[in-house]
Amino acid sequence: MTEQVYSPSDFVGVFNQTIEYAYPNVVVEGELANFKVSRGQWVYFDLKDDYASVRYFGSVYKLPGPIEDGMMIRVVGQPRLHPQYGFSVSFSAITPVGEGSISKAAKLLEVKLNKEGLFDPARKRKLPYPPKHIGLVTATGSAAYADFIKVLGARWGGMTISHIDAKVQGDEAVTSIVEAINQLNQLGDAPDVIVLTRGGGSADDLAAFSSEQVTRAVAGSRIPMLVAIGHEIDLSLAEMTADAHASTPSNAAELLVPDKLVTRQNLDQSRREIAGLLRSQLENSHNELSTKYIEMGNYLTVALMSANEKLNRQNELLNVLNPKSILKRGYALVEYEGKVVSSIGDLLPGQRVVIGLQDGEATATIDEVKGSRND
Amino acid sequence: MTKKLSYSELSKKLDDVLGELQSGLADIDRSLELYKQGQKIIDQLQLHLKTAENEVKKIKKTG
Repeated sequence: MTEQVYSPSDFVGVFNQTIEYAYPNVVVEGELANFKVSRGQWVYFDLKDDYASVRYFGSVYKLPGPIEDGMMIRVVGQPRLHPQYGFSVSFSAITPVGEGSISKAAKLLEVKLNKEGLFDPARKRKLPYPPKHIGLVTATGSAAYADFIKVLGARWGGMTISHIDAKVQGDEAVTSIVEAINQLNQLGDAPDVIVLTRGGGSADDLAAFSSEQVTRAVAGSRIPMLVAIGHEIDLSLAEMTADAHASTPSNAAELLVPDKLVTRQNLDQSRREIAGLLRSQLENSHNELSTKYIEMGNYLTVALMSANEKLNRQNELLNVLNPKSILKRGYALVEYEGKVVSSIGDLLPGQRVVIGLQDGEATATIDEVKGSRND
Repeated sequence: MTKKLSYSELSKKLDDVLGELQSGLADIDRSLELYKQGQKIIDQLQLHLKTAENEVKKIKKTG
């Protein structure tokens, strides 16, 4: 049998056909090495273990987030022989694997998003307290759903809860969660707050909540978001960018609404406080009035005393000036024809005058006059 | 024509009433008015607390 002889181009064609048929998709898990991005668009890297290294190539848009050499990743790809550049695998999906890689990927993403300001405390909005309409993104029938609804109902009533069922782990989780958040944001009668929640799980289970797409969806939600992922230690990136976060679905309900019982007590307290404030206001007014009353009384007394003193002084003065007082001191009043004589020039010898003393009168005739004006 | 106020709106009004009373700036007439207002708001708030259950609506996923 003659052997088949190919041209190089033909060989490449046949080889690729065969490979495509045998391995349309191949999944390889290994260590990332020599990671490189060219022109911001094309990604090259090697996937290796201790004995082999396979070349990979693909688009930057298919990356799950920032990854770096040393991380363990699982890559889905299509192997091919390039006419010029040799053998490589064209990748379609990359997933970090193992706790180490996942948290490494999360750390890199965290740094990147932090630079963009997604975790800035200033971005966080206050949640309405209490809300009237809650949007809920969680898995139907899950313990998280049940716990949240139960604690919510025990604490507060009269609210509407719009629930969208979403996958909270696995390959479809990221898309499912992002779509749910978008849908709630676009509702005509939109909720006041959106709660994204699930219970605890392994790092793999919770991976969606630290993915770039979910984190950006939470950050970009027009409606304020509360994210509560049951976890042991670290916060997921979605929780870090959310307006608020809680440690469990039950805790989320506690944060979201007040407790009816406590509120009732507070209101009773407020009633008493208002009554008390009014009472002390009344007392103050009463005291003010009493004080003013006393003050008025004081002024009156002072005024009266003052007037009295003045009267006394005037009286004394009057006494001193009274002619009768002068007579008491031994002076005499001389009158001639009914008129008081105050000057010696008014008297002539032979005139009959009346001499008034303090206790009586005497008539006398002038004998002699000395010291007249005529002298 | 008063529109029905939400719990938070009523709560805010109560805070305002308390604030003004506590400031001591209100005279007797105003204080009496505030007292009446305050008690009425608390009545409404207590009524809110008596309301029934929460309503859960299932939203169908689009796309």
